[in-house]
Amino acid sequence: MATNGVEPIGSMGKDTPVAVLSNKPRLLYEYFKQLFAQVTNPAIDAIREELITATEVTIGPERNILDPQPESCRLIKLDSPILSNQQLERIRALDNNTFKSETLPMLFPIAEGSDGLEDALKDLFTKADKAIEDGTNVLILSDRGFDEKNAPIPALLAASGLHHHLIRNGNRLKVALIIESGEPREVHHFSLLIGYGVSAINPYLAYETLGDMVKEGLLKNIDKKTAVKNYIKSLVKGVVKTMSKIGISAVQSYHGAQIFEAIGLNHEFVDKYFTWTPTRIKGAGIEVITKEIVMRHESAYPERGTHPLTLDAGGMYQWRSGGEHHAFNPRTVHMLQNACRSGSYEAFKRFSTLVDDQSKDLHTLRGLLELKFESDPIPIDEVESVESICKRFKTGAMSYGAISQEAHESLAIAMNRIGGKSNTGEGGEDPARNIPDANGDLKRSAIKQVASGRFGVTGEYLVNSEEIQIKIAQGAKPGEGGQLPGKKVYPWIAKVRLSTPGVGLISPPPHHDIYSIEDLAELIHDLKNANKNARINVKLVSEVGVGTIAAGVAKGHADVILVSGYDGGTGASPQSSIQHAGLPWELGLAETHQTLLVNNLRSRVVLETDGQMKTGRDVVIAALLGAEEFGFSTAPLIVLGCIMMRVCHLDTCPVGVATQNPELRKKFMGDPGHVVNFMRFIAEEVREIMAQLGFRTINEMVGRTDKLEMKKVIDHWKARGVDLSDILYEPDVPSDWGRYNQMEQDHGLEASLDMTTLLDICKPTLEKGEPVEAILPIKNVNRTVGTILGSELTRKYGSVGLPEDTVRLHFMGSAGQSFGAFAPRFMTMILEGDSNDYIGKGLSGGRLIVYPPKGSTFKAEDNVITGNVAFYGATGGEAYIRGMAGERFCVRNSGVHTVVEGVGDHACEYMTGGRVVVIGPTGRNFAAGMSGGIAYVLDEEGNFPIHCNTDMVALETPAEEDLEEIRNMIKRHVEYTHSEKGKDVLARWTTLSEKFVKVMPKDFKRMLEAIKKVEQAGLSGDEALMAAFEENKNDLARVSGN
Amino acid sequence: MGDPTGFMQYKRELEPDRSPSERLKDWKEFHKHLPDEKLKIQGARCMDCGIPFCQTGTMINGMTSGCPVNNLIPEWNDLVYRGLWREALERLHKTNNFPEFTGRVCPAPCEGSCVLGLNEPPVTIKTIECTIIDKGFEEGWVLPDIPETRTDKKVAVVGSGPAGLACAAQLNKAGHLVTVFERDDRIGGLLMYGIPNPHLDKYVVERRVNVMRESGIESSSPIPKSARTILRISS
Repeated sequence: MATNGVEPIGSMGKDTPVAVLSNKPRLLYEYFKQLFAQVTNPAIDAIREELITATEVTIGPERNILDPQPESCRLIKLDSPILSNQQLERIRALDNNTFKSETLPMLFPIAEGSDGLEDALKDLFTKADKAIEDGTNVLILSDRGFDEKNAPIPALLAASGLHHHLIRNGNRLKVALIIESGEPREVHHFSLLIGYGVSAINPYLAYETLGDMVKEGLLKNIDKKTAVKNYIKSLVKGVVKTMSKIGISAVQSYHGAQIFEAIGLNHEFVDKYFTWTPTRIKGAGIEVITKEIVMRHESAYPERGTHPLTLDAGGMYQWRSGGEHHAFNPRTVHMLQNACRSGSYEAFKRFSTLVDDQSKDLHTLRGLLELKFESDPIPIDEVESVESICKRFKTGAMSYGAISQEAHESLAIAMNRIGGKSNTGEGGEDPARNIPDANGDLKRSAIKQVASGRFGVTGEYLVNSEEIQIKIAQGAKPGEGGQLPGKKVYPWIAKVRLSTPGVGLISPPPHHDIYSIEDLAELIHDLKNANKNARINVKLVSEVGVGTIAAGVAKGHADVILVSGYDGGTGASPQSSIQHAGLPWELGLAETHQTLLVNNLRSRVVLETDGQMKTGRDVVIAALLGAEEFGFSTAPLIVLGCIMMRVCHLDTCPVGVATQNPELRKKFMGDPGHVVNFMRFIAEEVREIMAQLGFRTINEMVGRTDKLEMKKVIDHWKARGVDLSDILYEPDVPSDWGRYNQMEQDHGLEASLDMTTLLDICKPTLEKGEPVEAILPIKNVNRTVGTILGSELTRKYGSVGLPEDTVRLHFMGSAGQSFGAFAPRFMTMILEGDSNDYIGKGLSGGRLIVYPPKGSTFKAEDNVITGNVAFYGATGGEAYIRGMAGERFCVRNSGVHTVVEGVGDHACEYMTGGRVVVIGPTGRNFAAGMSGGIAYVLDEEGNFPIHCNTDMVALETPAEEDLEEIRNMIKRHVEYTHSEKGKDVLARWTTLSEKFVKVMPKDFKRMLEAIKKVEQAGLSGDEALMAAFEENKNDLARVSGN
Repeated sequence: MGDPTGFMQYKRELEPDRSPSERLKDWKEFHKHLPDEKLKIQGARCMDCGIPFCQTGTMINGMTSGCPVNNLIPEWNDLVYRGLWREALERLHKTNNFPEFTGRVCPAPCEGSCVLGLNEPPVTIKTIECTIIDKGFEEGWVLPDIPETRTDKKVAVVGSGPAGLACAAQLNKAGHLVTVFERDDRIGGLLMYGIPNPHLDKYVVERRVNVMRESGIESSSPIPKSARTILRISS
């Protein structure tokens, strides 16, 4: 943070216990988890759409907002909520007619324990009331002055307690709260303080630590001032990112918003000091919090001198002997690898016993549960077979790009061998993997993921799937997007992601075609159209309220709902997200199952869960809590050789699992057979437990929480108060309501224009590949037109099996959403009329032409003809739009060549390929996050530069060959759409051609030049790409994005 | 971690031992330290593992795996790479009272369980450890550890081998008055009389015993019948 001004990145998720189950003293902050948006009011991209974020805060009394007066504006404005020491002193010195500040100590006598803490809080509140009475309007709570006898009150407790006290007595708006504390240091701490009502924070000890590190030489080539500046910068960025996960763009809106869930705190404590914060499993109260403070205080002021001068290795982020417990530790890793490599079930049992014992030692919530075995178990032969259980197993979404080809294919082969399903992750898949190997192994991933970046999501990709997963959120970083830095976009990665090697790729935080639950239903429908044989799976992450979201998703016709735990692994994610966002799957799964059940939706969907599952017991508990399918990620990777280096983000994985580096990939030692062993071992263990519980099939056991009970005696100083009865609640519903998936969703495909009309019309093409041409009416109830037809053609002929223009369909009228989605190369769709949102979504080579009805009297170029988010995630093809498009035109375009006569805000965002010619006005934030492809904008007014986000692109004057390209595209535009505007541009070409601006991504340009250079040096093909990539990889000047 | 790709760039390197013909002439130690600059590079080979098996210190399949005293190996490897020798010494002393002994004669299960050792020669952990402490003595960073307060409790430690000395050092830090009993005429037990000089030169043992003495040791006489040497560690 101090060196680079960015938050540290980690990988491989979190496998430490939640704070209430830990034996270590943990800070109060760690009992809170950040909430994040899923589906509705989605997360925002605070980096690429910085123009809508604000970090300013105001300090001072707030007045009646319904009666604004000049005095209402008398506030101190700060650029950010993090105060330097100088800023704090200036505030402390305030004493005039408008502002008066007072500093109150945030300390309590350690010897008096929790009573002392509560008294000190009461005292603090009284002093604050008194100060307000005396006209103070800025309160500084300070823990300076702590010593052997007086310990700091946790800043969060003091701040939030006072905040709620003042709300209760009606004084809150009269005063601003400022914290001066040695305690907060991480992004999560600051987010919490702000979220619980603090206006600004001065982390003095963090600053001093930085100064000391500079002095000691731990931070090199930097002075303290710069280090502090960078640190503050990274904190502010981190807080903004935390807010953006829930879709909040201004710090002032986040202030006091309490967007957190407590885990492991009891109601009494939360109601008093963190009023209205959800807390579901109860747990610790003021006594435990005090004990943790005492433990920390004692290590600072030890009774005996045995204490060394150095700090303990905490082991939160990495395993350390004597540090925090990690589920994956030297013993478990070794035993798991040993068991699966040797194929010994006994060895596996030793592993699973160890893991389950660890778990029972209160490292997971499921460890607090006991299974109620039958006194008279059923014979194991009567239990569902290993083969049958394995069909319910999946591996997690890990992209080819995050993990190596060897690891990715091994997982796919293993899962195909056992009839389970592997997941592509967000990164496309080489079509060559659709063809089985000579020995019968298939490298094709059964689940194709569709995430916000839509990398490699083509019609062909979707057709080759059994299940399509829409990733709304991911356990390690819910509410966030991702980024594959350019140096990891090796040529083979670029190929499947349909992008340029060496050029960074950004996955946006939200899906730009999902801003509401209805939008999600539309995407589910679109994908079902793109492959009617595939189940549509929606991936959510556990948090409070996930059940309600899941109910919406079930009503939106998802076939499968996945509730992921917070502890999932990751290739790369900010540490604060790995540690502090999302909840254990036990909570989310139980809530989802219960909510679906009481709404009689449960039988319509398959419920799946994942998150650090390792043993048969884990699977059984998941089933009893409501899951019928189960995902594994970290464990199979370990089986393949992963040794939890946690360096996936550095591309230095020394065992060839999570790297693309060809040298390191050679060290890969995994074998699909080992993963098969793992899955079969788990299934076998599940069977054994099922027999003891008296279940013959998994279906019988789904949601049977009556077979679980809370561990009777919990002898743990923190966990004693934990109560899981909410998890075990069994809703009272009619007995004929299904408790597991028993029926299929009605996707309504039969009513689609494709099924009723288009497939019949195009029979000659479908059966013999003959050309077809037709003119048809269309109405806005006709959604996703052409997609089933396109998918059936692709299924039969592949993506390039027919000549261009084989199918020519001319529609007249208003098209519904997603017109021409995923249309393949051999389809041309003409729309004479207008279209709703999402036209050309995922366009996969087809040609779309839109123009107003003949005889229209309005000027086409001045009117919007297609809705928002056109050509989102399009991978290829052409489009000619006579008229203006809505917002977010060509977001994540990676191949479409298009001409349009005007666009709204955020056009060409995250674009990585293709060409966009705009011969009219543009909205704001053009080309944000655009890393590839080229846009040409006719800037007649000369104001385009102010509308363009030039973080990643440069504005250039088009060269001769560019102008030739533009002219040809406009010529075709005129030819297809008879555009008046296009004709005008061509007629005045000599004057207007000078007004074109070329929007060129900087990285893309550098890479194209590098490729050109190596080609001139005599290289060609893959060799040239690799040489150019290598040259570019080490170029430090490149745009990093984050 | 200073250099994430260090393990790919650099090879394992140790300073060659003294030649056998030279070794014939004396009883001196024959392992030598790498020069600092080269050793830093060896430190850069450490991968700073998420699970550093080198510091595990447990029995796996009946074998000791990783450092039995749980040395914070990745941490001081990195500090050596960054040239922060004194900080490295502090981290080393945190878990290990006598790194100059283990750095010379320990069989180094840390290197045996070094993750890099899966497919490359492991990090030169042992020689890094030894160099840190020898440098510490040379630079005068190894100082007597005199407790601020005394408990006035007396503890007798019988035997002055490595375990007895470590025990004495820890008890002394806790403020107790410790007396070490040794039957032989010099302190050190196995260190003094068990391990031959070429592996562990006796000045190394004496160097540490002196520091302990400065922490409060007085030679005591007369020697009780049951022991030939008494060390008293007191304030």
